[in-house]
Amino acid sequence: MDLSTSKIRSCRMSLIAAVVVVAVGLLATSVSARTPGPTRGPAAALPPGLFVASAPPNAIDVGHARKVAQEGKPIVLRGRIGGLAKPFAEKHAMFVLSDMQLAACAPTCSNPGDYCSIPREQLLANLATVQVVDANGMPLRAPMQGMNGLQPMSEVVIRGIVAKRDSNVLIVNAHNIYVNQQLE
Amino acid sequence: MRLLPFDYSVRNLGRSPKRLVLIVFAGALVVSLVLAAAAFVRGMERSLVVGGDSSNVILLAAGSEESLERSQIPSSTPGVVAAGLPGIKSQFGVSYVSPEVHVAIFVRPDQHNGEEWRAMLRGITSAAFLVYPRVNIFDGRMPEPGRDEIMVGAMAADMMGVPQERLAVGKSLWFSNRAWKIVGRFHAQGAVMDGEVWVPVTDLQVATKRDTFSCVVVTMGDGDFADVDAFTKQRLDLGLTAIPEVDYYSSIMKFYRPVHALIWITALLVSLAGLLGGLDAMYAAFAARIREFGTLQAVGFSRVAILVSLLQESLLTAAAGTLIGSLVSLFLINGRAVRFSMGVFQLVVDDRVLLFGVLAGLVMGIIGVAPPAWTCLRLPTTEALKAA
Repeated sequence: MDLSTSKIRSCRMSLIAAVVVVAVGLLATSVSARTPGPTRGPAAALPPGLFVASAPPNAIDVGHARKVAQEGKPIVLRGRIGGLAKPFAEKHAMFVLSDMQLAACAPTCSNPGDYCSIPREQLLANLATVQVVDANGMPLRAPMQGMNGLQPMSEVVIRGIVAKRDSNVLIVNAHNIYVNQQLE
Repeated sequence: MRLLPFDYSVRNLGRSPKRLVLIVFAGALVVSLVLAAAAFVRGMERSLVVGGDSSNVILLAAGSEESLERSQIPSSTPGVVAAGLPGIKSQFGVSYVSPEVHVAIFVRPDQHNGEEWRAMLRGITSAAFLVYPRVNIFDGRMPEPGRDEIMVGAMAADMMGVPQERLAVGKSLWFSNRAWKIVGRFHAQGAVMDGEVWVPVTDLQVATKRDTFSCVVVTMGDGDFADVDAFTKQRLDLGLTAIPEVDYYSSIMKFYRPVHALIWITALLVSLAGLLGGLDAMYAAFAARIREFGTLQAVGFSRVAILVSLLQESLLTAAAGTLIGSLVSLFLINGRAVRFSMGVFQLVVDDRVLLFGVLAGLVMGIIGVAPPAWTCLRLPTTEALKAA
């Protein structure tokens, strides 16, 4: 007896379909592996009352603060989170604040918050580091990104103490942070 | 259930020696291809994964995260990092801080020979041996600064496409308008450094007319990556960004994922062609034996018993092909050097890869026999006995 040609064809088609499914699955695995993982959840170690509902008065811009701030003195600082590709520290309560006058990169730029189009010297003169510290003056080990709407390019007002200021850096220990939610 | 004797399956294999040889050869070819694909992915993975140390962090210029060769940081930075970054591992007062220069340039055999070889150069200090403990000098010694000396990785010759003897200790390479004497050879246990040429960092700075480093690699002791990350946020003036060494090499691995996918798809398609060829052969072979199957059923053997016997035949053939394919891979593919943008890596046929190849071969043996066996065995015994 002869074997039916149609049966052979149907078997072949099933095999081809199975292999194509496996190949597509392999590609899908490859693509899904490239998607970023889940973001870190909010930390609980930040001091209560850190985030405030209204902006502290008499805020000055970051660029101006770089010139006039004095170590150990109170300061109210206004700026936009950015200046680096990743302005938030990964595991510490710390972020980089940039002057509001800095023009962000074009919307087509992959990371508008890193101000890649601004010369390095000009950028550095308009950046400050904001951190939340413990009783020993060490940055808290608690990530801040996502807390109370804090994101790259968020506009914030900081009230705190100048921890360090010289020609290279301005570091502010924040006591209060106001996030301008209207822009979120 | 009464099964057919195992001898019956074995002796059936000899009915058509030509067909047997062809099926075994096709199986070996398919298994070799699957193993080659797996060895490629495994080799690159091992090279890049071994390249990264979980406690090492790379500090490079902000904005140059994707390319060490493009990064430039001031020469003063390593000192600032060693003094200001808490938690760096240290031993006998020496911090594990390795300033490095990475460049890819063309080198020549000598001044008058126009032939050029692409080489990956890494400028190092003795601290490199602290942050990369797996690097060992197996021949010669470490190059001394100011004497135009270099040392080469165990696979640097493969990277440059020259015989191993060409990079023996005592030979020299020509770049930056002078000859550099090879005074040592090192082994990095399959990491990317194996394909590199190491030069004293100050010499390489002079040779490449730069006064900057590409990066600083630190090994953390009490601290971790988060401390380095926080340091870069506090010292914005240094213009640094921190990347865990493992993440840096993983990002390179991710970059090559589409290539891996293409390799697997190609292997699958060729395997499919082999499988279809095998199916054709099996259909023809079984179609000629339908009366035999009917007779076996008539004398009391069940369809399942006959199917088991056919599976034994197919698996024996597939196992022979898999064995040959595995041996070919072990002797011809394993250890072969493959060049890529980061340097060079070896194809790796290890236990995991072999297991994968063996499973692939055996699965093909099962899939190859199931459809034709089903088609032949589902006929009623009376019809099978009357088959031509």
